[in-house]
Amino acid sequence: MLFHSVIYAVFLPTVWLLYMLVGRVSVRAQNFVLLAASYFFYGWWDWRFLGLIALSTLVDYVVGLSLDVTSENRARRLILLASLVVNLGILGFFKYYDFFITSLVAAGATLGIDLQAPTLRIILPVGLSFYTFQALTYTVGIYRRQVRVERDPIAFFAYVAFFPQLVAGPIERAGHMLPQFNRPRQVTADNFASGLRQITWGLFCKLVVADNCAIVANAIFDSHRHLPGSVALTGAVFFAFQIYGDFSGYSHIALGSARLFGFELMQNFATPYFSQSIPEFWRRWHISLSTWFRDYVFIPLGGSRVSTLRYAFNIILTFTISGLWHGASWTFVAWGFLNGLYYLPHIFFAKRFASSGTLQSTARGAALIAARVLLTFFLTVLAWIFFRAKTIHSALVMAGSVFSTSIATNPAALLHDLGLLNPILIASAAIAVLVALEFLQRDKGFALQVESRPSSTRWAAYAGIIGLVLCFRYTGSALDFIYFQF
Amino acid sequence: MRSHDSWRTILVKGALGVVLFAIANLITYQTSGYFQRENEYHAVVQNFYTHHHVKAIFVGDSHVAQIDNEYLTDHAYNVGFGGDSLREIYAKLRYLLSRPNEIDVLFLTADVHMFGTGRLQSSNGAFADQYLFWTGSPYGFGHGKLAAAFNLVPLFNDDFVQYLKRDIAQSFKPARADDVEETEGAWQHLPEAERERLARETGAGDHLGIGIHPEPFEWYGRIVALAHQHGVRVIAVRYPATAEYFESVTPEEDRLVEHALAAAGIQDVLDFRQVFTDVSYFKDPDHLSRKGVDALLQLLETRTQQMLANGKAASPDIEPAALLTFASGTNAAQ
Repeated sequence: MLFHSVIYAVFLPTVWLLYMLVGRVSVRAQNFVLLAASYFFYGWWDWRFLGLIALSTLVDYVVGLSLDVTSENRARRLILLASLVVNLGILGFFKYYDFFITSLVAAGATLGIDLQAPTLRIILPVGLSFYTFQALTYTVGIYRRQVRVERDPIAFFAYVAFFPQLVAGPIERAGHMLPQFNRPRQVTADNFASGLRQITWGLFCKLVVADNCAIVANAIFDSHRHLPGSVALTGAVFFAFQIYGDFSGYSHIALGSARLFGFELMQNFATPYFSQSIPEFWRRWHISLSTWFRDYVFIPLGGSRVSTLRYAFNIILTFTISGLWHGASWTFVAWGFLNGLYYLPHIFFAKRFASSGTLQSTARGAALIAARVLLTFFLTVLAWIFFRAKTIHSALVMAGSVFSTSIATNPAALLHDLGLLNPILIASAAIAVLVALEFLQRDKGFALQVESRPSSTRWAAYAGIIGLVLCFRYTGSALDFIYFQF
Repeated sequence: MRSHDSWRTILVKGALGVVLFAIANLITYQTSGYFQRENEYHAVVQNFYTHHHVKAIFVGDSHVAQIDNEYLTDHAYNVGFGGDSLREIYAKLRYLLSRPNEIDVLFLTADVHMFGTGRLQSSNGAFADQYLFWTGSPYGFGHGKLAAAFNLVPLFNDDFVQYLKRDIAQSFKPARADDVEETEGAWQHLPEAERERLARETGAGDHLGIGIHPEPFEWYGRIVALAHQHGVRVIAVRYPATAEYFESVTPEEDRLVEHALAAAGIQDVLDFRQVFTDVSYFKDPDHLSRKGVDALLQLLETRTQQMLANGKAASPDIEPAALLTFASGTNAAQ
């Protein structure tokens, strides 16, 4: 069930009404409604995978109880290991089996070894990577004695499957999320209104920005022609806004939907394209995943409190694994690795970056900030080429063309041939609105968080955004959220 | 100052929002060219009922719609509309046949481009939804009936949004010197080479992806089956266009369409594709001038009479001659 589908527009208010009705009975009854609704929501894609999420949740529930009653360290480690093996085993099998087998066969072939290993053409259950990581925060949290065990199976199952963030996050921490399932939720009118605003903003990001940008990005990335650098860069820039609108849009709808039920999820995006450096970008992009990798991969590897070389290695490795998490393809690995490389100057020349001035109040300071923002944006756009391209080879060709003399080619003729002039006009206008509103509201959780503005501004903002969604939304075949595939 | 909401204010604001939304819909419906087109679309279908004893109907896209109803007698009626795909044809036919009628013969377009990528989605798609709704069609709701129901609200209508976006984008474009197709007769007066270039370009665009998608073939089968189910004889018609327009159609694509007609159970095919060679018969690469329409109607009448005289008429109580005098006296002879 897609957040921007008609069926979700029926599902959400129905569940909400039911939830409010049973709220008179007990919190547990509300949790049961959420659990049933979440399984219905998930089963809408493919009911067969319900067994998988139920199994994974059951294992973690039992592991949690076992860890709670076990004090001996070795036994605790073994119990945790069981949770890791099951969770990561399921993830590894469904997501990476075919990838590793084909990579192995290809590697064998280059060495002249004929390896006979069958691929299984496994379908990746939607949201598997997200709920697996979320469930792991619970077992690891209990192991580290940072999280209290959850004895109520309904609360725990509802926590893992909570529909607003089930299929693409934010990846919540058990310590933040589980307590919300155990106490009465305050569904206030203010929160309800705020939730609706955030859902509206999310719909704008997805339907107007992301989907209109997708027309341009898809046509360019899927084109079989040799593209001059200017067109390749155009495609990459529109993809940058597509993926941002798509994923931040999803997250906003998730946060807004959860708030309608009295839940607070963690902020997942904080205007990342205004970042002045790559480290800052990663503090503001997909925050729930970045912090997950920081807490569960980077820090266990030693983090930054090691030698500079080891620190750099930890960064590269964490980013590369993060790339692989995004998808079972070498393009994602390259994307992660490239982002790791981007980070290195900030490790080796940390002092220079730290002392490079805070001159915001002067014209020179503003220009410097703008230059940093543009450079950071350009680097991320370059990395997105690897994320979006089908193969490493095509990514290299495309990225190479950006640095060739063809970057100076006027792209208009080719874009016209590809039928992209109208879509570019619409998508550019959508991007302009997004960037302007996010800049104006950069200190807020989302751009439509306007309750502190005068009522005339608020109403103008609502009418404007709803009008844009109604009149400029993408109307082709429904486009899935990109992150569903991860 | 931060605004605080109570449940009451949310309800009031919600109600106000609904009222504003309704007003916006009303204004959109009254002022948008898209909905004016919708009204014209439905008027063509509804006017069928102002013609008594219609025995033959024409269905198809602009190649069919060029035969204006004022050229036809009361025995024949044309529900063709520019931009219709086979889905819309099915919807309208389903609607007409579901109500009392005397239809015996269906002149169904068999133009190759109807089987191409360009006709997978029609700008008239939302117009036809209601015919599918009213007749309880088991087919035609690709995004579900709920989504189709939403399409009935003007500002939720996906096709309207598409129209609006295109309209806005067009308004930013400077007029081009070669935008000649919009002006009646302008194409005829172009130099021959330029005319041929435009015809090839139009043909190549219209004939993209013939046979790639199964949907048009499925719709074709459904249309013919529906007609046969109601005892209506189907005559497939391939409409005239310039030779250059057809250049992009490969023999293999032609065979695919012929195979589709045969598979659907069509035995009667009238092929007029290249009956006219003189430019005066055309107003653009694939549409006829008034002279062309008159000539086509005479050909249609003659060939259909021959066809029915050789075969068995669908309804024994109908005289083929009565059925076939569909070219009205108003049409000017060449």
